[in-house]
Parts: sequence; structure tokens; C-alpha cells
Amino acid sequence: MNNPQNPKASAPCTLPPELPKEAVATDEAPPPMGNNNNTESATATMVREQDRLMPVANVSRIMRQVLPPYAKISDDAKEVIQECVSEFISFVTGEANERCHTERRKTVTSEDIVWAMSRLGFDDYVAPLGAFLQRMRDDSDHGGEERGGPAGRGGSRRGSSSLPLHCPQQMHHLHPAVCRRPHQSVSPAAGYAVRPVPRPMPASGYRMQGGDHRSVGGVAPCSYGGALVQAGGTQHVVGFHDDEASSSSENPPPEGRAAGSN
Amino acid sequence: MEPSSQPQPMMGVGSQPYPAAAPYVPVPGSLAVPPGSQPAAAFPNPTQLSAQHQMVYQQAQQFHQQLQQQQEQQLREFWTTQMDEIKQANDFKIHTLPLARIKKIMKADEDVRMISAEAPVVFAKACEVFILELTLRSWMHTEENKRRTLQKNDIAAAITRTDIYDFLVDIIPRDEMKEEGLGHNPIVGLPPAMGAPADHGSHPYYYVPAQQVQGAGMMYGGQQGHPVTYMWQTPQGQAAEPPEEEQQQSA
Repeated sequence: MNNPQNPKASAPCTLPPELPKEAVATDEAPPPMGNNNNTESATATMVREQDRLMPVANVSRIMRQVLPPYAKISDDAKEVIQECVSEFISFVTGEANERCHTERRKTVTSEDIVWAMSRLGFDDYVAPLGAFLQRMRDDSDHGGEERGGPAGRGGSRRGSSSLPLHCPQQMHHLHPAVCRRPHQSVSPAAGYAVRPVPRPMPASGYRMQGGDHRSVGGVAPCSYGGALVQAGGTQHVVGFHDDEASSSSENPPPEGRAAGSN
Repeated sequence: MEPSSQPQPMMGVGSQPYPAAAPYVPVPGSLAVPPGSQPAAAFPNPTQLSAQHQMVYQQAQQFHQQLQQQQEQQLREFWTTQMDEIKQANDFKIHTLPLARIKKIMKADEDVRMISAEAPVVFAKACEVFILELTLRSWMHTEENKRRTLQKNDIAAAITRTDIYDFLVDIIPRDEMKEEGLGHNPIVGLPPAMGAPADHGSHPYYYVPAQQVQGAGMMYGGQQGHPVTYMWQTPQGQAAEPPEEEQQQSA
């Protein structure tokens, strides 16, 4: 009975993007990145509650599709699912966007979305979504051609060709999760390390070096990264801080993994 | 369902005295002792009591395994259904979720510059599947508790039990998870770990420092995040104990 729980307990938790946004809101003071920070907080404030979530009617309708006829859904359960969906979109979008940055692209494509899900452990989603994408394009080849430019079109084809490779994999998601866990445990944290690098101009060199890790940087909350960059801008890097941080760190295994991956 | 498993084993225990009495029949001397004094009979049965406990435990274990197999079967059927539905889909212009809102949520991330027209469409389908799977896993918990109303703690249970839902942990309040932990054996290992955060004030904020510290550790190992070193000082100071909790969980 404890077996199902052991993998769960051993799996390191991914970092939440919501709270860091609050942190950013409280860090409006730093002047160098003040504009970006104000913009972010303003944007966060302007996003209304109803715009931040999927409509409850749509969510309820979808939920009922998988429930027996006699099932009832409490209002607080519907609200939680609404929150979970928005979190899912932000989570996957962040990962997909990191891939775009790594490949020097500006447009997040559907291939990036599917790739990000596979990256984040949603392996079961890859085959259905791959089939969905293929059918959607077959259904409207002309529309697809209109939308995509030359580069975009090439990317689409490449992505679509790679998707069938995942189709045979109908494994239960627990197994991929287990196999993926060691990698995931390193990736999210590594993403954290890389998150603030792209923003400052002088750190362009770091961007090249951190290319591999940046692909999973999406796991780290972007707004928090902004706050970190602000701190970096105002607080010059000093060996003393670095040494102190290293000595105070109580996670030897993650450090070892990070060093290994580097 | 698990609560119902307890009464059945109890009935089993009730029936045990009869087979236990059978071995005593061949010996006339001991036959006279049990009816005379039941307490006396109870004492000479320690091995049989442990045997009864083993039987109860085995029955509970078998029940749990059967339940797990049923749930895994349900999930396999779910994914097969999803693939079949996609293959049979005809109109791709009918979306179950508004694309504009999906795009707005994607755009909430300031790092996201441009989004292709296909991305929200794929996300609409992905979110639909996500809602369906999360609801199905939550409903399994509802059924285990013999209820017919899907509640918040059912979703909390599904999130706790499923690795790919780790990113949702902070959406569920601590109370819901504690309630879930108290109710189920498969999550027996978690209550102590979650108890500590509750002692700290049961604030989601206290759960975050542990993760931040972990991230910080990785950052220092990589030696690429020097500009952010200063920012990690404060969370580390506050997260003196959470790392231990992390280690306990991993243990």
C-alpha cells in the first residue's frame, strides 16, 4: 500500500509560479528594472479574476463528460479545477517559451506546446495531441499554409514528423514519470539557475553556456526571475555572498547533479 | 470503499473463533476449558491472534491491489477513449474552451512574445484532456469514500497521488491535504511531513522556501546565478527546517 506513495515522496516538487509573482509585486522599489517590474505588476493587477480563469460553465461541462450521471460537483471543486487549468497553461507555456528562447525563435508554436508537455511529464498527452494536430492540419491545409511563414512552416513539418515517434508509446504515465524523475530533479532547479541570465545585457555569454538548462527554465517563475535580476542589478556580485550561500546550502545531492549536468 | 473494507474483515474475525475451536476438539481435557472460562482461552491464543491479524492485513492488501488495478484500468480506458475521439473528430472549429482567454493566460507570462494561431487551439484540446483526467482521478477518491459529490479534497487527493500534478500542490490549501493524509493508508508517509509545515503556521508560503532552497542549491552548484545570490540569502534563513522535511520525504 505504501508503494504508490514512495515515488511520490521521493519526487522533488516543482517550483510554483504564483507566489514569486507576489514577490515581484513587493519588489517595486529597485530602480534599474523598475519599469519592467511596474509593467509586470500593472499587468498582473489588470488581469481580472474572470479573465484569469476558464469559464466555470465550460469547465463543468467537460468534467461531467467523465463522471457518472448521478455524480455531483461541489462549487469549490469547480473553482479548484479552474485554478488548476490556468496553472497548467502557465506551466506548459513557460516551458514552451524557454525552448523558443533556446532556439532563437519568437513565436510559440503548437509543436512547442506538445514538446513542453512531454518534457514536463505529460507523456500520455503527446499521442492524442499529435493526432489532433495532424487531423487539424489535414482538415485545413490551406489555412495552415496561410498562417505560417517559411520558417514557421518548416518548423511545423519538423514538429509533426517527430510527433508520430511518440505514438507507439502508450505506456502508463507512472513509468515515464519514474524514468524522468532523476532528470526532472535536476532540470527545474537548473532552470532556476539560468532564469535571470537572459535579461541583463552583459550576461549574453551566460546565455550561450546555459542553453541546455534554459530549455527547462520555464519551470521557474519568470516574474521571480525578474526580481532576481533586479537584485543582481542593484547588488554587485561578491565572492563573500557566493561562499556564504554555498556553505549554507543543505542540498548536496542537487549540487552534485547540477555539477554533473554542467 | 476502504472504510467498507474494515467491516468485512471484522466479520471475518467474528467467524474465526469457530475454526479456532475446532483444533481443541481432539483433546478432551482442553475442550472443557474454553466454555468454562473465555479469558483463559484468549490467553493461549496469541499465535492465532497474530494469524488473524495477518489474514486481516492480507485481505486489506488484496483489496487495495484490486482497487489499484481497477483504477489503472479506468485510466487506460480513458486514454483509449481520448485517442478514439480525436480520430473521429470532424469539426476543429468548435472549441470547448475560449481561445482568447487561453491566449490571455499565455500572454500573462511577459517573456512570451508571439503565439502562433495553432497554439491556443492545441491548448484548448490539452486543457480539455487535463480537466478530464484530473476529474477522473478525483472521482476515484470520491468513490473510495462512498460519496457521490466531487469535493475539493478529492482533487487534493488526486494532486497528491499523481506525480505530474506536482506543479499544482500550491493551489490546494494545507488543510485539504492534511484531511486527505489522515484518511488514507497509501499516504501514511505524508502526514508527518505535512504536519511540520502545519506547525509553522500552515501557510503555503512556508512550503515554498524548501523548494526555493533546493533551486538555490542547484544554482550554486551550476555557478551561473551569481547575480541572484543575494536574493537567496533571506529564503535560506527562513527555510532552516524545510530542507530536512524534503530529505524526510525523499527518504
